[in-house]
Amino acid sequence: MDAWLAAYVSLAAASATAAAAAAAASRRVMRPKRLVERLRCTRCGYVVYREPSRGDYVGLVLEEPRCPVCGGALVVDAIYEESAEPLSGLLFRRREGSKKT
Amino acid sequence: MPAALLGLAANATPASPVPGVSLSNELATWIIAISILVSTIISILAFFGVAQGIQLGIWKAQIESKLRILEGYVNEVREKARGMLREAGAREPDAVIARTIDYFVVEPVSIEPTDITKRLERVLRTEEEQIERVVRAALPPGVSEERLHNIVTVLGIANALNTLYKFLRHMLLLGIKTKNAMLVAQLWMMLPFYMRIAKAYRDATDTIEKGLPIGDAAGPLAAYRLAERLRTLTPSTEIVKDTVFSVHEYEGRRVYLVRARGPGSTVGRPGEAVERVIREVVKEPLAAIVTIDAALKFEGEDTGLVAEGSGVAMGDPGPEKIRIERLAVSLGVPLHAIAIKMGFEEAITTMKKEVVDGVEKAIETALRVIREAAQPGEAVVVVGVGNTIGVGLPGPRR
Repeated sequence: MDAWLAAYVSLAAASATAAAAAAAASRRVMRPKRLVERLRCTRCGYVVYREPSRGDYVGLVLEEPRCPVCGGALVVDAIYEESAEPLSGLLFRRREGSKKT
Repeated sequence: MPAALLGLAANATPASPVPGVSLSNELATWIIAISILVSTIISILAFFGVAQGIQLGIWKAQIESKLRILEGYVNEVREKARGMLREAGAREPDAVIARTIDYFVVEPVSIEPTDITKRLERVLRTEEEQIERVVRAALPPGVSEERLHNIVTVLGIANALNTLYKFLRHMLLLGIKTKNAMLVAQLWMMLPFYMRIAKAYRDATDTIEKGLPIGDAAGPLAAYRLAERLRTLTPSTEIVKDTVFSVHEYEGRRVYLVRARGPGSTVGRPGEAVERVIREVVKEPLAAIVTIDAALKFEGEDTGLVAEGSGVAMGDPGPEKIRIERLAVSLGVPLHAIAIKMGFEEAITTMKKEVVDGVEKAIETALRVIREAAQPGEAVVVVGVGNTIGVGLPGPRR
């Protein structure tokens, strides 16, 4: 009887440890990131966002595409990485490195 | 015998082969006796360092597993450098890597401090020029300077990771060889920090290979934005190797912008450039020197936070920074510093949106500092300090 009790207690302890490890792992889930290139029209200042192409850099004036509003040339205004967490994640989890909920 | 000694024979059952001692009691007695014996032996052995030996073995196994990860990083970056060289059409990329991966720099003599920064500058420039020469010699003619600089930076990272790996392996082997548990313990405790640095370097190669701006490019990006925003009088002109200056006008004040030439991976020579701009170009009374640079944040601080201070915001080993400091002292000019805060990993990997936002705030701060420090008719030198990868020069005013 005592042996069974010991087995049950061991099993319960192992289950609790596994559950705690799983919870810790879920907290360490990788936040998806995406690269963004901000293009600005040199004529009207209209801003367009897209994924950067190889060889792009800040200050590069692009031949193509042209500004969808006035047809002016677009210049690469900024290239950066931002969090691409799905909306559900933002609603139910605190953002990494942020105090906002 | 042990049962009798422990006085457990009182409740003996008739089933026992030994009169007066039950089977279950005898087993328990033996278990207790053996446990006491084992714990006594372990306690005695502990005085002779066996426990420490076991602990050392555990630390050694954990350090070795991390070293295997680090070795993987070194191989990964080496492969990346080889790929970049091959893509650029280099002859014998392996020979270039073999020559640069173990390249070392000997610090100048410090017990005689006279001219130590000049000697350090000479040593660092020799390193820079030599690595560039080796890579350039292997590349076919016509390869752009930007591409060359990016390859040199990735080779520099491979060198740093290789040195770190060899150093950690050396410390581990030395600790085991001399049975110095404290040496291994120190290594084991510091390993998470080293691994953090190593991972950041490994991740940085992806960004550099693609030529994207890194966090450290915040300074040159701020200079780029300022150049765009202010009326340009003289467009960007190279004044010293890989470093440019441009002249602008802001509410009656002359603004001389200095930064590294992009979009290749280089920090330029900002100290020497500022010295030459002030001595050779600036004609108006100089009111201030403002440096804008990425700075390491404290844990808990927000990325992209902008802080204002005094001095030269520059992370170089000394030679460039001291040129500006000496010049400011000789001219009696105030030194203003603007820092854009970020973590170590953020400084060498792809620029975060928070840093881009921080650059915008830094520009507002810089303009305020210019207005406060200089009267109309006076001049201010603004330096965008940092690696300019992914940040080109602004075109004509749009």
